[in-house]
Amino acid sequence: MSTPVLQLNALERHFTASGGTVRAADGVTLTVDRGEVVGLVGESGSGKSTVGRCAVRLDEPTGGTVRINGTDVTTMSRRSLRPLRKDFHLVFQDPSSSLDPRMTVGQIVAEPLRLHGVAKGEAARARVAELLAQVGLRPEHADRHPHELSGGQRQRISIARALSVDPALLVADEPTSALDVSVQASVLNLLADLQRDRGFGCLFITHDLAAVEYLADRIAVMYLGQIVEQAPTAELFADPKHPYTQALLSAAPVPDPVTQRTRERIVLSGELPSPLAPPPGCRFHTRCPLAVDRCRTEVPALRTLDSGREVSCHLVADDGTAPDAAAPRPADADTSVRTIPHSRPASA
Amino acid sequence: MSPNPEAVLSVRDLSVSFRTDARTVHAVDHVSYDLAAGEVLAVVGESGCGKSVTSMAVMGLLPPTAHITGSIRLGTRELAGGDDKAYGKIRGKDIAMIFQEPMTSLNPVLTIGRQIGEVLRRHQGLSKKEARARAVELLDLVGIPAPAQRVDEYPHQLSGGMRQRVMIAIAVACDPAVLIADEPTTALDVTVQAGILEVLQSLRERLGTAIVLITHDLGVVADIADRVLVMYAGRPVEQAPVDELFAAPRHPYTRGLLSAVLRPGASAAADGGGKRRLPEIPGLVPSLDSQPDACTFAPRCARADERCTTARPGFKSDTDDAGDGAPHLAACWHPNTLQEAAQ
Repeated sequence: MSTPVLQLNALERHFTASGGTVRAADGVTLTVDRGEVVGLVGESGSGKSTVGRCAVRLDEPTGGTVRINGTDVTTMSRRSLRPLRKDFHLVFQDPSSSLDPRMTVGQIVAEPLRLHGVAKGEAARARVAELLAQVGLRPEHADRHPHELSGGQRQRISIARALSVDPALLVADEPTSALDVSVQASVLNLLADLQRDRGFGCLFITHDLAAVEYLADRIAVMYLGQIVEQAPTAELFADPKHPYTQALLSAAPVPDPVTQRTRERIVLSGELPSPLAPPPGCRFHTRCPLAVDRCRTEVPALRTLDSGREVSCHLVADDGTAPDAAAPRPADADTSVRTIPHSRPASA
Repeated sequence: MSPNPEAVLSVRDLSVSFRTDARTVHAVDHVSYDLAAGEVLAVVGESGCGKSVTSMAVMGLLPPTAHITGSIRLGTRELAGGDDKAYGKIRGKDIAMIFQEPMTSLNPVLTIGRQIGEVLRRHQGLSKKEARARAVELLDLVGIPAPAQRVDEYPHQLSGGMRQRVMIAIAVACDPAVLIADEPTTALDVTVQAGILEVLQSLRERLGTAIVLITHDLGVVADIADRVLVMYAGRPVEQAPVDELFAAPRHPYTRGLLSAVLRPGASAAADGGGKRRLPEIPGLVPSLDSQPDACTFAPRCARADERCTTARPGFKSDTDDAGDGAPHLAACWHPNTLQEAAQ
């Protein structure tokens, strides 16, 4: 088996804040293989972006290791890391704030080529034209400035820049979240095409479940700084094991009124606890409709089930038998949950 | 079309343009809709389609540089052309609005109880004490736990979802006939969004509030809307009951928009490793500088012919309509027939 392009092992990123320590990422273990798209899903504050930033060393991990193509980069100095940066790139959510407004598109896309000594002069110009064509832009766009382009076009430029030096790993942090629906579709198509043609590994960070289902081969779900479930995409959507994953999937509205009206959704009670003081035991127990005493005291380990999927929940059996968070709760559970069938008049 | 006397809100031929030194931007171009009591109308479209400007015009919140024509009737009152004084009497009382980012709408240095009470004291003349008691009731109504304690907290002490609930409490404090919600859940997580949609649903059921929901999220539309108005480049392109719009879109833009949306089960690595692409809408949204006597979607439309580029289509229903009372309107010279649309 070839070396994974990204290996995170027990990654920790703790921040010291006035009220204590914020455990933004707390023991995250994750791998991305060559040619694989791994989706990292979670809500605001789950730590997914922190993991992405640590993976490309934009942020310094406070514990654990980060390996890129097998090389441990966790504590490497900025200087020695620089030549390795050719191998990994990041695409951000908002392309207008990640593109220098004073540079032309051609300069922006050629910058990594120049910095890594891959190509310069005429060769760089030719490569830029080629890259622009690959992301669906015209050669004359090279002379424009970012403000002259639409949001979707700008995101294409971020992608062209990230891929200019043929990285082995692309970390994409909410690359489509700021875009309109129809533009989103074209950027997702582009990422899927490029990924297939070039075979880079991709860590796709998003809160958009539909986008991750479309693009990812495998999905890791984060809650309060930890991965709670990891599974191949189709399996995760067909049969979510962790009660949080079940709630998350049920909460996302489906763009079909007839289906949406008959779906049951699990409305979680309470709010996301502060990462300053994560709850003892299972971090999800304060909102979990199925929590039992054990969940309040004993931290569930991220276990590998017989099927090879990973989940951290006491209530999931090794053979994969999982409780249903939407079902009536067992007698010893105390957290209230409302499962609300839609109460809309059939025609209005 | 004359205003509908039964509608709580009736907008007719509303146009909004902004004049700058260089050019005039026609942000909204002849938009009309009616809103019945207790109805949820979703206004859908992509950035720059004019969905927010339309609502800001209805609320009288546009800057003086905006040039507004057309009619906006709230019950029997004409709002168009009203000044701040006229609007001051009805905003927050008969019609209210909530926005995407509650933190920018709330005052960070006042308790939430005081901010809810402000509307009540202004419009209903309640005393400080009465206003506080009512604020607690309202917080309970929008599903905030322990309202009697929360009423004395400041906005920064609340989560994003709770702040949006506070905004809703302020908006419905005087039991307005119409609530305009501009992307109310866009900044929120899905599990929090689900809760906010429940609150809006219950307001409509318990108070009979009519809601104009502005959104780009077709999942949210499917969840809560009764009727949908689709806008493109400042113009209305389609309007229909929600089920009909999703099942049988008539306008090519609506069709494109619906097919570009990701649905559960969509995967790029489809069956047998073959390529599966999401349908895209080719081309870009036109600039709003001109009001061409043409269909503004024509340059991106596969069905467009000469007529589409030389005459503006009316916003009307076809003769082969389902005929179930609620009209299905489309601004298109070549709308999908019902048979085509249902495919």
